[in-house]
Amino acid sequence: MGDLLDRAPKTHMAPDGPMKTSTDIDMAALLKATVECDGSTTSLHEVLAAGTGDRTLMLFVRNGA
Amino acid sequence: MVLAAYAPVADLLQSHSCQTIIVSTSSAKYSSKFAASLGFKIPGTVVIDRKRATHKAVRMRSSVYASLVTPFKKHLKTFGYKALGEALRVSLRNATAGHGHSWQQGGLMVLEHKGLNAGGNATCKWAWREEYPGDWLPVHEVLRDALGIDDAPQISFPERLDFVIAARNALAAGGSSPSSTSADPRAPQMCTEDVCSAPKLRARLEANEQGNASK
Repeated sequence: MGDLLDRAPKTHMAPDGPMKTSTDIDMAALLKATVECDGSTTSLHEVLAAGTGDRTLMLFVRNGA
Repeated sequence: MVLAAYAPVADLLQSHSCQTIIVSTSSAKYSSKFAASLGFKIPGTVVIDRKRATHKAVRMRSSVYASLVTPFKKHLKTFGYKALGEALRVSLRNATAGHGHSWQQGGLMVLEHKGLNAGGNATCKWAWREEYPGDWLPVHEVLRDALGIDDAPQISFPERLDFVIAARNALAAGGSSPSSTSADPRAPQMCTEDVCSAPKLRARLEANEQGNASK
């Protein structure tokens, strides 16, 4: 069973597999990404800029939780 | 669970000039009802990204295998094959449109963005991409390693599960939120399957913590 599980197909967003702690991200795409916030459609850039502080902790949650 | 885990440190983060943004793939309607049914304040600003553009930009993992199989493969000795089959069945049955993307994994990012309004840049200073559901780092380690906050309290995920259940029960008993009543058929419902029961979830969380402690 363990071998079967190991051979099961795996899919990844990144072509080179999961890079768990890499800080190499597409910042331009991230800032440009369209999101809904408080009922309005805006860019993540606007959301970051509207907040307080110079740092942001982003929590990507699964299925809303 | 992630929201409940970060709720106790929301003020601490703010006091260190760090805002918190929560990225969800759920629908706005589902997210709103979910938040109303929690019974505690969400520890940040919620943004909804149904198209997962942010997830793609930061290269969060998306995987059926990681969502359904890996959590139980990691803890197969604890739960056995019967639990794996049951989890597969429950996961597929609960995969409704409003829930969000079932195969998208979560994670954490710390961005620095001084003077963003005045044309400044943003940079990613720290990242954690979950390999499977529940692949969480201890909260105090995140705050220490990612943000240099050394005085964060240690958060117990099993305790947070108890907190979530108690908060939901209190809210339901008080009836202060219309969306939390069972009379609203659109309100998110607690899964009543045995595999999602509090003892089973608690066992999973405790196994996770033991796994983290032994790393």
